[in-house]
Amino acid sequence: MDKTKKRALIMILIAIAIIIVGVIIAIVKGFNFDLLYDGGKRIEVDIGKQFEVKDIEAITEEIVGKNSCVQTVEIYKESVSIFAQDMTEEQRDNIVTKINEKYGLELDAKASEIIDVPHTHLRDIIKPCIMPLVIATILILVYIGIRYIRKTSVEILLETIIAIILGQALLFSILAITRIPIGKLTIPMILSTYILSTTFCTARLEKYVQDKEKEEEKSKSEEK
Amino acid sequence: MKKAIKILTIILTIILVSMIGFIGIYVQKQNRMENIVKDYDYAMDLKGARIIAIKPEEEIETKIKDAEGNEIEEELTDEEIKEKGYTKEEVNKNAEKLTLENFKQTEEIIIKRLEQLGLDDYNIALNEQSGEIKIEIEENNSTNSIISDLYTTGNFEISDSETEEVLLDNQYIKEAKVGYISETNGTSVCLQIELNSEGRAKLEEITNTYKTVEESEEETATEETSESEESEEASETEETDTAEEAETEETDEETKQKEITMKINDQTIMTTSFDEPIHTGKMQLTVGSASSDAKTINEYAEKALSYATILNNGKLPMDYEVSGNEFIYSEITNQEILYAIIGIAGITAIALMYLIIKYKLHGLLASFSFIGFVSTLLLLIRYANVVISLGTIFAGVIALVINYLILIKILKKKEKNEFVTFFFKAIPIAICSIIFCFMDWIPIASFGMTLFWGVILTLVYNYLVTAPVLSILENKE
Repeated sequence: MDKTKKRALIMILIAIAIIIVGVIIAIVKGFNFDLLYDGGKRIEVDIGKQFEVKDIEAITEEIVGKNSCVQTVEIYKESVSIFAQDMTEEQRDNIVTKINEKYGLELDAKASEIIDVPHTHLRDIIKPCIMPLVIATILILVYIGIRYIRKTSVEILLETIIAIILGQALLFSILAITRIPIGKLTIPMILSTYILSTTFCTARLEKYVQDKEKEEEKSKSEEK
Repeated sequence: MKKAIKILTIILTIILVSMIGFIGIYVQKQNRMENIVKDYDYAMDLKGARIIAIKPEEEIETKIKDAEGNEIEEELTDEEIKEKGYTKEEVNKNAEKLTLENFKQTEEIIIKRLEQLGLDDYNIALNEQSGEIKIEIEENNSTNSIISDLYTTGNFEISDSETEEVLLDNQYIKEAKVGYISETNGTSVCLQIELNSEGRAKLEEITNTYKTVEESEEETATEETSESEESEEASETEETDTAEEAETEETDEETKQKEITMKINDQTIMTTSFDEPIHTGKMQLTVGSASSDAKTINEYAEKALSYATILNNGKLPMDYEVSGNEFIYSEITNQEILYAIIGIAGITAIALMYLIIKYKLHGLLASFSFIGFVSTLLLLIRYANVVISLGTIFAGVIALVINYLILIKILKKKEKNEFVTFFFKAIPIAICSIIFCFMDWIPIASFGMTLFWGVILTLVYNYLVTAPVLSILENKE
């Protein structure tokens, strides 16, 4: 076995090992979802004047912990949406009291109803990607088939499909292992991984074709 | 000397483009400086979104039960209830409909409606316990009208205007679409409803039953009735008064105009009869009146599309109400975006420093060219109307990496025809980017567009700028 093949085999084995670990973690622990995608409790406080998000973040963090998110509401930016994985009525009351203290207000905590925010499923997040990726894969396979038809075989097409699937499996395994949250960045990550895996395949094929051409030229010149 | 001037001109052009791309062009407008370079257009993930929450409507009904749990029909006061030992319970009338199956069906219908309304950039989440659905959509002028289309039950009914007997409903609809009719006084918008085979037969039957009775027919019928009455008198037969009345009623019923009422979402659209029987199973309802004003036509078309969307995707299994509706800014702040940009700029600076150290003057020129490439790409993105999302940042980084790699190839002069090699390697990327460009979902489309322009610019820019500059320098040396 030559060095390149050996290196490729090691890489594939490492990738498979990562995927296996990722699958186990995904089954046992599931994926880590971004707070806004994971669902939880949300309240809205109408402060009535412009405020610093940092101040509200500090108050929220003190009461419900770091697993929270503060967002400005409506165009006048005078209301705030506070999102936390869990929030009791007591915690809500404390948040509103602290906001009152900070801004010299007399807001009624009960006016900020605790809203249940549902969990967004992974399938709903990745669903829009499936169709474009399938179409792109078919067209890329057609291109590879045409461009490398004389120099390559069906194996190459299979290798490309495997590389694409392996790339995505590796991405989700890394997400499961590293606990990188599934959220707004997931789609760009999927697309980038896809681009990288297809580029890797064609770059390899192009190199293979060039090497073969060089070999042929060399043998021809030797014959002459 | 001539070559030095050429290099200097290209460098100055790059500096100029970079300044426009990174800073802009400022002109004085009403005592303030305004950037006339087109601004970036941000997508929902960076700008924020309208977040709508809908939940199953509660129809509270008070039930009085005795000690054994039997329902008491009679109306009682609180005191009487207490006296008799009964209990009062508040029950949701729709409780039976609150099933997971119905919640999921509602979610599916809403997704279909969103897609038919052309809103492909959305996020939806269902609370499987309560049936509450959270929908995130882009904020624009039509957002408010779209919201009502999403949670409307979508009842379609054709019923007898008097008896209110339902003759046709949603289950018979095959397709509803918007149509336009050119008339002498402008264009009129119509809602075309096509029924399935069963519906077609039903409609034919309805149009025969509810046929418009023409005035002349009515008159003839009345004449006939009076003639018969006269003849009866003449012959002096022994018919009773009751028989005479029954005959007159029967004749009245035959000649009386029967009408249908068409309702969409319990709102009466029209009450009418049919001039001719409809055999095609197609109905055409005019929305608004004929107009030549584009704005008015668009308004009618939007209304027709709204009806079509509701009718096409079935009716919701239960009534829903809005429990939340507000615009919420993205949790990704401007400061966080700035940090990301600084990070990318830092890495780029290190990579360019490497080029300068390794390739000296060639590396410096290549770095200049790289900066020019970035600013040109930023301008191109803005003028090509690419909506900036997180995908744009990822695709932009990929484009920068590709450009950097091709720069190294040019500097190394490793391959004679590096542009041809790059072209073949870039074809799959181009295929992906073109496919992504045509997707309606903004995060994918913006990723595709940025990548597409990035790849095209890499080819064109390096062929026209980088390679000639470096070759001039080489010849000089």
